[in-house]
Amino acid sequence: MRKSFLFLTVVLLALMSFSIVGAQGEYAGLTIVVATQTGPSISGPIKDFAPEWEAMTGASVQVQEFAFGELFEKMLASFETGSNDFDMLVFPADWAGDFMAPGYFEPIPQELLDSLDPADIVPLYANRITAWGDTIYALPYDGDSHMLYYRKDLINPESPYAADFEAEYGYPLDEPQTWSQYYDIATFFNGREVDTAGEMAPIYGVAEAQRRDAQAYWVFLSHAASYGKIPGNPCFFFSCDDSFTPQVNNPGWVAALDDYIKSRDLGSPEQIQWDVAQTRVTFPAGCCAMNIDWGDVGPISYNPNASVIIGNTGFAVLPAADHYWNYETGAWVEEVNRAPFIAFGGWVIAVAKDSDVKEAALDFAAFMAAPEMVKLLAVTPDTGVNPSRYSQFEDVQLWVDAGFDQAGAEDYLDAVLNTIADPNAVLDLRIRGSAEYLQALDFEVNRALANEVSAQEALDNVAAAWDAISDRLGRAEQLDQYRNAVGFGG
Amino acid sequence: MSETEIQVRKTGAAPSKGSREDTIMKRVFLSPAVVIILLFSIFPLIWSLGISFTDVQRGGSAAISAAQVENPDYNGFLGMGFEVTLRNYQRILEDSRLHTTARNTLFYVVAGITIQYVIGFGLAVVLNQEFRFRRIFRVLFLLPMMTTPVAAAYTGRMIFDQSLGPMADLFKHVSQFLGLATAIRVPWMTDPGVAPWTLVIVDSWQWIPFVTLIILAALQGMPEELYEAARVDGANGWQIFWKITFPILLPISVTVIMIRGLEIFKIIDVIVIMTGGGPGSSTESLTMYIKDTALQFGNFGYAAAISYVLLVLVIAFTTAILALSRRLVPQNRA
Amino acid sequence: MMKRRKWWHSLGLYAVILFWSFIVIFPFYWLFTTSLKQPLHVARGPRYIPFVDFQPTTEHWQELFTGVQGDTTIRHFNNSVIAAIGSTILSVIVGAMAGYGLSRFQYYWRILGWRNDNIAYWIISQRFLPPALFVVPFLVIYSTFRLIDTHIGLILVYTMINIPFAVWIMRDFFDTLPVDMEESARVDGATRWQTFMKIVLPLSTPGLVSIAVFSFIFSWNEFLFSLMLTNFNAITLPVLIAGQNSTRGIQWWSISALTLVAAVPVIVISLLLQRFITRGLTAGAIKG
Repeated sequence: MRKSFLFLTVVLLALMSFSIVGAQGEYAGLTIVVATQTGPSISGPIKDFAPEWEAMTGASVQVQEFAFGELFEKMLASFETGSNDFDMLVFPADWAGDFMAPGYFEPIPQELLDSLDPADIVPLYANRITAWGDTIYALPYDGDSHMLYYRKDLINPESPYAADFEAEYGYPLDEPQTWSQYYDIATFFNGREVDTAGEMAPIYGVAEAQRRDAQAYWVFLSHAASYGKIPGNPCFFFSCDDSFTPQVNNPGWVAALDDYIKSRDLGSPEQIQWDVAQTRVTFPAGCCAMNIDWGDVGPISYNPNASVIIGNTGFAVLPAADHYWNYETGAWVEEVNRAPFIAFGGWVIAVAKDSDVKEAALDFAAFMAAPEMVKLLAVTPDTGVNPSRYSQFEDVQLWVDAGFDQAGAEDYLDAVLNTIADPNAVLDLRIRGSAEYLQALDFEVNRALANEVSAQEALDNVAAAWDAISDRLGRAEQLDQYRNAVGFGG
Repeated sequence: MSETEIQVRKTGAAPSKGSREDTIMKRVFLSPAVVIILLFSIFPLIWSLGISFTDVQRGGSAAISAAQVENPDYNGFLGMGFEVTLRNYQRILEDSRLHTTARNTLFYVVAGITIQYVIGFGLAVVLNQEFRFRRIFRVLFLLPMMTTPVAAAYTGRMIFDQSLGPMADLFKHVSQFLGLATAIRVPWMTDPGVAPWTLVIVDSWQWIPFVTLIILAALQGMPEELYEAARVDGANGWQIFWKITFPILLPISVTVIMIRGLEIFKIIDVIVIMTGGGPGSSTESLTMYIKDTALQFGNFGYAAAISYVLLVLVIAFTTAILALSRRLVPQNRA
Repeated sequence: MMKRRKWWHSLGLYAVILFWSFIVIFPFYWLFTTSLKQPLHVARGPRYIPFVDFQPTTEHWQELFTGVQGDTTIRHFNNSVIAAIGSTILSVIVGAMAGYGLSRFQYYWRILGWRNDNIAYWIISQRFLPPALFVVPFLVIYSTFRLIDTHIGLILVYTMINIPFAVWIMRDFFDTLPVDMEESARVDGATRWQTFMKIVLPLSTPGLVSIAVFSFIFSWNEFLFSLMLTNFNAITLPVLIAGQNSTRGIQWWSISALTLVAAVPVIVISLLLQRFITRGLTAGAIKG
């Protein structure tokens, strides 16, 4: 921690020299209130760097933090009650439908965008995730997508287990390419005694977050994406015709839920109560052969206080499905379908339209979203900031300096870039009421995991709930938003 | 309460002479409390009863915005932007998630009261004996009550974790000691049948001291002569307990049970932190469902309606306990 | 009660006491050791004894109390102190006044036909309303009156919740105080208010202390309202503890350290005033 802090400070000095902020004392006396989640992830860097910006501009920054589960309600309440509590908001991009669509944010001025090297930003973030319609309302701060992590010391063609595995399954042991390989490997290793940090002990096959009221539905969606996404058709959660039919209960999704239930039995017995926060502690501690999570696990797996698999972590794009369901034709298509899930879409920074200190807030937003800043933050453990710019992918040395080894850094960056650059990638649901839609999904998926209902019943219930939500919010308007959000029809 | 104190109490409660000053002062003394309760309790209560008959949700009324597509001037009941509807109360009858949460809540109340009362009572009897360092243990046993429920829940989650917690480890060693081939594994928080019990255990760990504290105080206030008389009559310890101690403690027991029961009806923090309501819907409580309906779904009208379901349950519970107590303890003031 | 006991009786007694002491103490021990663990000590199975099982570190304690995180911890701590003390003072004042009124005067609310007992029951019944009923109205009322995230807003809610018990306990307490002294003071020309302040309150210290302790403990530990109604300026410790389940991974060590920090004031107060807790509760609850 201390070492990385020193590192931060050094780079910061360099950063200040070509910072884009205005003259000394420009915003003297102003206070901007920043709302974001409880640190140290995401909010930590803002608190750490605010003093520098305060010194440059004379303004002061107050960071208000909320537990993730409360953040949406707090932000929405501030807008809807008109209490105007926050000036700058750092929030998950998939809430765009609730925040950007009603126009709660100040559009980002063009000259500000231009000053932040827009060509460097991966197009997915630059044009889609930070925008609503054609207007850009936010600055990308953090790139975020789900990927696959695995114990490279166990899963590779030269591994001591390779021969046994091949004898049993008939193909070489390596990074899983499809979900069926994923489950073969998980089954093979689940309960097997292997060497972890010099200790022979049984490990589990997978570590997947399955806890209710947390982040589990994103993990489930990572399974569902490849089974339900039709290549060339961006509409995944709903059909984009006028009926706006929820696809959540189609056979592809049901197959994905069956897989997710299979994961329950191939992981720790505690897994149904594990949220991402917990798999992030246990996977680097060597509990399990494979893990699905956001990019954060990369830096954590190189933290000696938290990880026993330093240098032994493999990074990969999410596995593909052996076949996918085409809801347009109503039939399975027997083709391998890779559709990584851009879960969550990352944290973005926006400024409230009703803020009294808009200029200052925009300036601070630009300070935090500056290319050099996010580049630095992405390689620092515990910032929660993942790459969203090409420059972050190109500069392998930066990652090596931060504790990665060369091969690991390349492997990691490759996996992230291949995920977010995949044309078949699935974007998170970012329409009005997304939190409510996804909560309904989360609840029923968890009931299926607890054997309260079958996979089909659970997803049928979700579809009914989604229809009810759409009817309440206005079906035509929701359809319009969804088309907008996925870029349907150009 | 001793005899003399009850005497005094009667004197104290005697009516005072009404002077002009007194008619003013009696209002001065009571008003602040009444005003605060009216403003912060009665007014919100009526207000939420009102919105339980509307479909008001975060960002306005759904029915009104739907109707405004046809007729832009339409603005609902008396132009106030909402409709009066019984839909929320209809939905209560059909909502199976609500029924599950209500069942879970009743389970917590019944199981929690039973465990906390029985163990709490037993500990009070133990602490009422003479032994060395009794004062220290009396204080020590109160400790769990002093932590915030949030922290108690996190502690429970650490201890009952099947892969990382000491409880599973203990069971493993016990199984080894007993020479069992496979270790006994208790799915504390991961099995829909076990998880509600685990929550009751954590809540009980925290609140057994409350029962102990009050019962112990009552035990110490018991007149010694009663025991002496019973012993002279040749009763043994067991008979004394059931014939004398327990009946005298009945009224206070009713109070303790009622207070704990009413508190358990409100249970939320422990659940949110330990199980998040899962696995499935096996541990979700009514209060948690209300909070989610209001804050996550923004469905204010329905949240208000189901909070009245909770209120009805609470009133039914209180009435039942009070009726029971009247039958058991006819002389009780209540 | 001091009778000769059979040896097995004593054995049983001590066995129960030791067993329950273990049940009470172990979770605190676990919190303490966890606050000294590195992430790996937690994530790689249970470790029990510092220096034997694992090498303890005070890093997490330092992290919580220094730098940016230190400011946050201290802010939450101070807010908890303000909310708890503020609402305790208000509850004691309002509760004592109403308790005295209900004990010494005859009230009759004509519209409802209520007398003292009815009013007292009405007040105590407020304590039993589920807080969920208030979630929505409070959000709306508080944002209308700009009370969101203010100390006074939180103090008022906690006072509302504490008042019923305070009134109930104080009424019972005043009932046990003889009225003779008050009457002779009034014969000497003291007003009601002077009698109340100079004679009644000093005699009521045990009752006042016990309601103060209870109000303090409740306000200090309350979670739901603090979560809903505060953001930054008035946010309290339980919300900070709950928030430690962050995306960086669940911070068991910080949770443990914060829990111990949060428990210390309450434990100290309870130890100092232990006699009064029992006194107040017996006064308030025994007669049901």
